[in-house]
Amino acid sequence: MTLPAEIELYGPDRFTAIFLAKIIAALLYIPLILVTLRFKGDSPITCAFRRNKVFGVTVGVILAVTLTATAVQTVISIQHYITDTLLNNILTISGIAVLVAVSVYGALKGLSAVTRSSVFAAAVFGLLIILIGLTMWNKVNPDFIYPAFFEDGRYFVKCTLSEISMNSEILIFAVITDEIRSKPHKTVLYYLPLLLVILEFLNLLYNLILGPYMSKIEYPLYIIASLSDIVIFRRLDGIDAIVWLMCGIIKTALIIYCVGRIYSVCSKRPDTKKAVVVYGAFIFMLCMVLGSDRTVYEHFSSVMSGGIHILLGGVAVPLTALVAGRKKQSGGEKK
Amino acid sequence: MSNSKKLPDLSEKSVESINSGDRRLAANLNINCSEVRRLMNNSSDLIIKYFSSDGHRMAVITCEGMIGKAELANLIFRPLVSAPPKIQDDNEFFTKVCSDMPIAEEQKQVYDYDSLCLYIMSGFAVLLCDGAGFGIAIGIQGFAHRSIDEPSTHINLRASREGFIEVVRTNVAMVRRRMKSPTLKTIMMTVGERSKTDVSVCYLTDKADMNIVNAVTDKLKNIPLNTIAGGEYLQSFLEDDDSVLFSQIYTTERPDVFVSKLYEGRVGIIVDGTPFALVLPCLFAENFVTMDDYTHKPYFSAFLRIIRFFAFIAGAVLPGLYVALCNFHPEMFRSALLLNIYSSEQTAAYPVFGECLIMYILYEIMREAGLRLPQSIGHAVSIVGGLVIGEISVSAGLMSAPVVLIIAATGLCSFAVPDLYDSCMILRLVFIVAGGTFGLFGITAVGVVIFFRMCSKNSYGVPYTAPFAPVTLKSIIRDTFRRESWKKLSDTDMTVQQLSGKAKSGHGAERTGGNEQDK
Amino acid sequence: MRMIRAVAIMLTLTVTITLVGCVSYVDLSDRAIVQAIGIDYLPDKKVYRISMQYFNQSSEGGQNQIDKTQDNVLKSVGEGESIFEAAKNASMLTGKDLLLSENRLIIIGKELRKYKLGDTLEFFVGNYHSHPQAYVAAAEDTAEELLDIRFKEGSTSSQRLANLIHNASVESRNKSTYPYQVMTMLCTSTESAFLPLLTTATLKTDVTIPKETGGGKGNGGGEEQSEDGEKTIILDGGVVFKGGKELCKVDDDGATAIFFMNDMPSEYSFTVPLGQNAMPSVTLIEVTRSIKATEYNGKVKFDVTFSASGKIGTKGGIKEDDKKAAEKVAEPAERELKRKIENSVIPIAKKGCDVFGLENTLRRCCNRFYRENKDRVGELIAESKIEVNVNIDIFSQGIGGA
Repeated sequence: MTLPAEIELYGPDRFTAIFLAKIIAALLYIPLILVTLRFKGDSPITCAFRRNKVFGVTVGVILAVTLTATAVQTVISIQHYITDTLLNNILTISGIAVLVAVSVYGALKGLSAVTRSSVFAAAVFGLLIILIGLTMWNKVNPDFIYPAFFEDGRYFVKCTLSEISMNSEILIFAVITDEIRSKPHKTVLYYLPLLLVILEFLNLLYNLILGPYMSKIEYPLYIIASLSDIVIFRRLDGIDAIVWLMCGIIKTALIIYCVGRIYSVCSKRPDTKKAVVVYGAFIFMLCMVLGSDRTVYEHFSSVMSGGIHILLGGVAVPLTALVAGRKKQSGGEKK
Repeated sequence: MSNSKKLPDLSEKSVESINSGDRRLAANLNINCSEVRRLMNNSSDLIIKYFSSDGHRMAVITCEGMIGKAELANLIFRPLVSAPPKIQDDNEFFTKVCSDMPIAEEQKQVYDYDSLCLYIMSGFAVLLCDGAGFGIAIGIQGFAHRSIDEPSTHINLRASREGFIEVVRTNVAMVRRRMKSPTLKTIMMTVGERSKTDVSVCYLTDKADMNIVNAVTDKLKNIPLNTIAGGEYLQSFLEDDDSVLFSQIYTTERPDVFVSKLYEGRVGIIVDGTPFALVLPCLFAENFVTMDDYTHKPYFSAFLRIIRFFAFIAGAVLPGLYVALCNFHPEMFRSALLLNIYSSEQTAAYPVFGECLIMYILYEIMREAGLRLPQSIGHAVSIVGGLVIGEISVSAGLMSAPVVLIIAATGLCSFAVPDLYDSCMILRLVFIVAGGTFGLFGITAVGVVIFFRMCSKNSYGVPYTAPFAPVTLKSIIRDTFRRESWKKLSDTDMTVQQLSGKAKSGHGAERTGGNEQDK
Repeated sequence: MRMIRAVAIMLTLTVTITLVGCVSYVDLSDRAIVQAIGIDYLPDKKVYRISMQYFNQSSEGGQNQIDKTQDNVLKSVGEGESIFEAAKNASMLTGKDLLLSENRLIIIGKELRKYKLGDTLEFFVGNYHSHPQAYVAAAEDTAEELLDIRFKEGSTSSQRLANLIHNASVESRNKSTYPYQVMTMLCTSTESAFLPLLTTATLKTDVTIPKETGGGKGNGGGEEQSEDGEKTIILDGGVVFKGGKELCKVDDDGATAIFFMNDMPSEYSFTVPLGQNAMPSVTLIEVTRSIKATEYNGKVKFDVTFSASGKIGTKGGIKEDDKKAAEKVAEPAERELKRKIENSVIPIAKKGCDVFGLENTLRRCCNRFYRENKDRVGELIAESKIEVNVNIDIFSQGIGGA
């Protein structure tokens, strides 16, 4: 799941953009899947390290940099979201400190803790969607749906690129492939269609309820949730905020864990607790630098929306590992 | 003789000398009896009765109040005095008594002083004979104990009314009565250097994971405590990590629950001296299950379980949520409710955050006071709590009515899930502070931290948050929020080892010599 | 490990304690719960004037009962060069922080409607804590004049005004407009919108107003007789916007027509003039709407079709035993409804105003044509032909009918 982002494209064109973006994302996963199939579940960094230490460290550094950029973008987005919606007066340092601290705690607890927590986040998200569906069904306007490929193609391409750039989960997959119990390529095959369905459904919701106004607001799901009225609460925007907070924290915790794992592989030290804490502090400082000025962050965000981090960490690294990596030798080589 | 009193030696060294285990009984009755008296520090409850049976000098050593006097007279004195075996040699005579005169169902030969003392202190009568280098420990325990009664916790409407008592053997008998299967195995151990508390480890050989059984027995053997006064002493040593919030071990006072959990592949531990048995591994979802769920109709059971889940969440989060909404997000209240709260807060002396904290502390003080007071005075607590603190504080303008209502309601909610009462109490305080500090953001952050903590725990290889995370759909549908009808439940058995995320391990081999003590 | 844990706990406590003061919250008792806001523009002073009603907690007597002898709202006014500044000044007058989440009504004054409506509503839609379902309405003259009139029924005075708009919407007589709905309407090429119009009126008849506490005159405790000449507020049609600015006023029929063209009417009653002193009333239910656009010779034709089931509410002069009452009433009812809608829709459309959602229809039905002419949508709508068809199936003839 990704965070609510600015939606410039309104209408059915966005349906097509999302669909196309997910097709392209699936194609981008191919090098990674081939790595796992060829190297029997190993991650690109593990098989690169097996070939050559320098090669492995280089791959690890590239992945770490791309993951760091993703983590910083996530934390600052969440911090802006909190400031805009929940707590207008919160200091930047307070918001970022709490987010990073909780994420570091999750990373210290391990991969199981973070991934299992995501089940609860998904359950709250499901509850939110059900409640919104029950309360807003009579406010939909089907007139807002019209044939696709109407708008200027420039916006269509921009929207597609933006959707692709949000697929930063590929970087996480690239690191933790060898820790997935079932076959990793199956995980990807389940994940992408599910994500597609969720995003298309959300887009449908935005279009039907908000129509062209959707392209002018920053958090459309928040607005829709604030219009929902159930017996207990007058508006559900609080639940929407809780969902995105949980998603952002879990994503950041995963990223911090991944960097800890990279450190563990590169340094051959199984204990990554200190590394995780130090990395968390580093993320905090970076977020403070980039997050205190919205203009600076917007420049950073526009660079990220080009998808360079996906191409580097999610495509180039697995391709390199596919070509130059080494298989695990049979006979009990320790991972 | 020295006039100075010799202080009792309480050092570990003196303990070790008693527990040496290498000192075998002599063939002389006087030496044996004086040695036993010395080892027992001439304790006043040690009774040694000398008597003669067909010319053979014998003695019975007991602990006062630990044996059945009628059994002593009928089973030991009368047969030995009236019809003893006609054998001259003391050793042969005593051997004949041991083999051909079964006195009681539990009868063992004792060869060393340590075992002899242990049997005496366990309520056995030890028979010694002059000229024989061994003793006979006869199980005629008759110490006073509580009768089987309705359990004080985990009260159910339609389930059994029997609860465990403090005697481990009676408890094991209750378990055996409910599971008449040869696969039910019990391992008796002693834990505690000084207290030598009897502990019985129970499991079904075809259901339980032997790795868990072996891990439990190993941990029990290595517990460094000298005294075990109750089962709770063992909990810290048996848990994988000493969790502040949620325990990985389930305690129950009910033999029917105990047996049901054994059938799910768990390991049970019954400790002498406490009516609470321990069961592990324990999952979070189990705290919301009661025996009544299986006696009511499935739809009603489902409703009750959902109520309990909701009650736990409300009990933990509601005050914090109220504080957060009042201070940071009042737009989430309904209009009429907001206007009422707004008007109430005008007259309150403290801010909402302070009111919640004060009421929370007052409530816990009242609850604790009511628990400790004798019943005759306990009624006064409810009068003081209800009228004085509740009504008067609102009328005097110290507190607002909504806060009093919220704290009272959450108190009731936490009683709906008694196993998690302590966790709920701590979480309530944490959420109040989080909500008052950072509003919904703080509550979410704390909630995520708690999820991380819960989800990182494994109870003997089984994820603590199973079957929710990782998701085991079959188990969720079968017996979590709803319970399937008994017809469907009886189609397949499900053990805790079948849950997703269970660490992949072999079934494990049963250790030989599992019976630690053959009493 | 223990040392690390101890340090971590101490650090967490220190950070928590120091950060506690970093989120300033406002206690609930220090907030002014705004119930209604009126925004006017004073052209001579070139300032915005905000007048608002906020909840008067003193009206809540002991035991949380509402004391009806007191006004349940207080008024505050503020002026400023921007709406934000005016709101801040109004807030300073109350001495409390404004809480807009209970704001039920936003009234736009006459002078302010000469400026872009979107800019005015930006203040509300940009504030995420503002009530998302506050009704937006227009005032006949100044908004402040409307907010000076107080009502004692309901929890606060603004409830009566909000109920006016809500009830009109339920009866399909006027469109209820939340801020996001208005902003959605303004997203069209013509920047058209509609707001219901609230106007003052003088009561000329004896009207009994229910009152919850004693102190009332007239029929015992619980009721109050109105006085002749007492001012009240009524809903009187609406105001249509084009280009974000006021275009014209519409009457009740116009407001109904706009509702029919935009929303789904659940129930609507109207009188059918049959002539010969027969004036039966018909209640329509299950109204469906279909709008199609066709392009011909560079122009557009809109076919609007309404289908509904109806029942005769009151016979209004038709004989009770008349078995063919349904047939007699159906066609005239169709003609009457068609007339009402056409008489309102066509004049507005001729002005190039698309408050009926015609642009969406054009985009849906004539995609390519719209794309080629999207710069002149207003002209297309002004030159378009609109044909309204109504099909009513009378299924019940009321009491005594077949």
